[in-house]
Amino acid sequence: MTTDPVGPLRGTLDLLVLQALAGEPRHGYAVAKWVRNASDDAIEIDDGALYTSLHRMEDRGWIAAEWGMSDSNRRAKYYTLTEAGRRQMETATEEWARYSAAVDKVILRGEGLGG
Amino acid sequence: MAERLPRGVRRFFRLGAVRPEVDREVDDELAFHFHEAVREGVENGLTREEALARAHTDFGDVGAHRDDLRRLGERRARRRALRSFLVTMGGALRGALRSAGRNRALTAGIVITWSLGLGLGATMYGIVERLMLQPPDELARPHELRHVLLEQQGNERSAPGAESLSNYPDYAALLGHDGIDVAGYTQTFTMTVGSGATAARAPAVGVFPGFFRVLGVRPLLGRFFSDPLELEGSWQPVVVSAERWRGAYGGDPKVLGRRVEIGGRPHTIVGVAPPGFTGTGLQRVDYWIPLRVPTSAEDFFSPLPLPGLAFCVTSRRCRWMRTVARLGPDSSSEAAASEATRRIANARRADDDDVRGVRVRFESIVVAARGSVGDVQVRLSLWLLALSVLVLLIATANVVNLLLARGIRERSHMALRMVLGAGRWRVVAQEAAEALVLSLVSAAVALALARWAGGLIRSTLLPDVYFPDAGMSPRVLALTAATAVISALVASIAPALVGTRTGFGAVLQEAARVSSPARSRLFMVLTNLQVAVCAVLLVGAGLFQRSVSNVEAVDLGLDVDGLIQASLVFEEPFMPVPTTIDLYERAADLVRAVPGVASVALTNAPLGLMSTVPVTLPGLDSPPEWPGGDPLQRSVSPGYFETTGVAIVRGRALRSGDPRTVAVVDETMASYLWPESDPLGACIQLYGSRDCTRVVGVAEPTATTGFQDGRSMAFYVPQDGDSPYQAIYLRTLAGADVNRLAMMVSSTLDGSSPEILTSHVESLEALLDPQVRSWRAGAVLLSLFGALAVSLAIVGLYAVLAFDVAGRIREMGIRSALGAGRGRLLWSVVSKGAAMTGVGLSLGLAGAFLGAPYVGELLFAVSPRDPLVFVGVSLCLMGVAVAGALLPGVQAMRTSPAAALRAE
Repeated sequence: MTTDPVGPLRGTLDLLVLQALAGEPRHGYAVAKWVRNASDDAIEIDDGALYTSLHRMEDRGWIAAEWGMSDSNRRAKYYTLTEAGRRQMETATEEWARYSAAVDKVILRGEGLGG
Repeated sequence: MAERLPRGVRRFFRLGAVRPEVDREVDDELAFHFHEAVREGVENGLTREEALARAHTDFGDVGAHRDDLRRLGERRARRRALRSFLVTMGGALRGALRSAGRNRALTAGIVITWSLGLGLGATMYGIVERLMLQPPDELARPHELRHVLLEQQGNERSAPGAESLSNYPDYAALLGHDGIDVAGYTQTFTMTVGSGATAARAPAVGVFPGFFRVLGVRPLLGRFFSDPLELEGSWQPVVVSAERWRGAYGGDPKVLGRRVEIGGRPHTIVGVAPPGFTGTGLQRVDYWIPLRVPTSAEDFFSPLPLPGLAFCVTSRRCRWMRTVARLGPDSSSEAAASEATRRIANARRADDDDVRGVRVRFESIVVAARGSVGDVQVRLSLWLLALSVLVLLIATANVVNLLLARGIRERSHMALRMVLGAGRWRVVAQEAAEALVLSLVSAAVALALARWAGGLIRSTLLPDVYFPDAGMSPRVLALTAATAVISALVASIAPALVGTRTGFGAVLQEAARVSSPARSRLFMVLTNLQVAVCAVLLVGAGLFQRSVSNVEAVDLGLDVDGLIQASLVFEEPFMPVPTTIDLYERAADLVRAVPGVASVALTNAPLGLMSTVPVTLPGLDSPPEWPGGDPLQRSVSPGYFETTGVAIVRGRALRSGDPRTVAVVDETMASYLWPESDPLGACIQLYGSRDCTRVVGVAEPTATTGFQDGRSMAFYVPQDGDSPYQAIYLRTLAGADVNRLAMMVSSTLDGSSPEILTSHVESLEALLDPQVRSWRAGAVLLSLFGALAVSLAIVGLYAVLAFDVAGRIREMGIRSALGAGRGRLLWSVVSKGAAMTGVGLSLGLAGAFLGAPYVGELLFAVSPRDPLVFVGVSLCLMGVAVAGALLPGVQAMRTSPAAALRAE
């Protein structure tokens, strides 16, 4: 975890995208749709930010990109999780679990004090 | 910038369409996103417009995100390109090694050729950089430093320009002045260090205590001089160079406080200067001896052979020092100069001294440092740099030839790679990368060569200049690497293009027929150029060699071998003449007792010093017209002629007990005054007196300053008590070590009497050496360059003819089958080689002939168009042609009809 305040959020976005790619290769639009559906529209993300996250992770070698044909028969860029990406996803998931548990603990204690 | 490069180059480095390609991919990806979003929106019952608006809302700032994506994409593409470049280079390295294994001789030829060319270039660039471009090492902010010059009108000695600010009173006027910080120092003296058996000679410079502060130098160890100077008890402090410290004192940190005798005076080492520090000059200095700012005349005490300093503290006529200044960071050169001028003028007015046209000027520290090196050496260095570039070009041309040869041999490999799907540019890039590997290996060899053999060049050309890092500055390294890369590109592109031009099928058919007319022409031009450059170099070498022979053939009159000249430096500048004569006579007695000394004599006119006397003849109303000025008068002690080896051609030499009224005249004078009659017994009148001085002998004429003076007339008289002696000549016993003896004489004389400050002892050979040095350096170096160029040219010629023969195997075989004799086949190759050399030779000789006026003044007594040299070079190069053609010729001679068939 970094001390950067936007850190957790950015980490979260990457984590969501990695999760989206864990099942199968997807193009950007499909990733965006998956994230939206999976969170029941609870998380608001710019689709643009999502692409930035995709490209950044491609840079880091967590995902690989390849041009292919979409269901609608158009040229689309498909992203696949790499081995490094899978490891990253596991670490990040674990970290997130610990982080959110810690946050929960803090919030619960806050509620206790308030009550 | 990448976009402006030609397409081929961009693709070569994969700089290609990086940005447009990335942009297109990002645009495509986003376009797909919006297309899908709109399609889904419409499927869910929105209108196209509504769907598009929703997609934009969901996406956020499209422009900003697109820019981010593009940036990321470009970074990714660059990384990928670098990785691929490294992979290609790795492949090239493997390829180069494989190919080197296949063509060992060829690879060795390429590396040797290139490393010779690059090594020579690196060495010469290092020298020229030291002389022309770089300030001396270890100076802080050298751009603020200036050498201070003083211009004065009405002073005939400095009439043509400004001289170094060299007198103490003017220097003192500049001390304590804001905006300009000055420090005085002396020239370099060779001092005797230590005493007895451990005595050695080392270069030393006297400096005022502020010297190190002004130059901004920090000591490696200990400290520099306090300002004002404090003595170490009664001992004078001294700073030693890092090089001397490592050499003579074994790098011992406990050297501080150690006592050392310099010029017979006790000193204490207080500091070690940083490595490479040579003050404001380029010569190595081992001891920095402080000069005390004088408060009284006696205070001006120094072991250095400076003129009598009591006089110099107050007189502007005593020129003995040089001045360096640091300008403040904010002060302009002009303002500082005019302020300095004003101060000196004020000081002079206060002293009632001459202020006419006094002006201070500043000179760059780089120019001033170069001033300590002979002008001829500087120009020779520039010439040699230009020539080394030519040699490098020759070497690269040869590598082109050799790579072409290899390209032809490897053409089937290349074609195979192309058939297997490698693009032509990829194959060319691979070839270039292989050449790059070869050239970088050569560069490494070249630098080793420059370090080792370059030392020879540096010490021949500039024996006094100190190269702290053996001439291998970071700039030399960088330039050599860059040159290697460029020449690799130049050399590899053409052969690779030749290699890849033909398709696979064509290669199979043409593999045997290696000689195409276009390539032969290229070979031919390159070889001719090489021969031309060789001719120019050899003509230069010949001219300098002739200069050296001419110099060495000059009869100085003096028998230089085993002759030593010693002069004394007195505490008082104007010693009374009788005292001077007496001190010299006593010194001569001391020297006579030194073992190894055969004979000793005294003179008032050693090499470089002259004194003329008006001479008349009895019976003439007015003095005769003397061509070249009044005759030179040499007051000498008995034994002068046998000691110096000046031959008496008629009559007798001067002997002890001779009256003052006898003289020996030299042949020039004798034949001018008495062309018809016998000079012996003739009368000459000196100093306008009517008294007769009788001629008792005639001596051979001698030089007055060295090799280049016109001979004036001279005569010798016994010491008359009026002409103070200036030097002791001593002849060593046969087989004695002249330099060792000079040192012994020096330590015998130093401090031998309280009036004697120190002595200056040098063999005549050493005194004259600087005069011969430039010619010798030119001869040695041009011969070296010439030999290199010739050997490269032989390789080049061999390559051309060998490939010519290989290409004509079939023709030769047929000719041989048709009955052509072996001699004719051999001749056909050799004559071709000779014809090619002939063209190059004519070009080169024409170039040398036209360029002759530019080197004329660097030569000694030889015309720059000396026919002997031109003919000699022609013969030598024709010999080279035959040598280069012999091996291919023999190969041609052995061709049998069967071989021709096999070639089919």
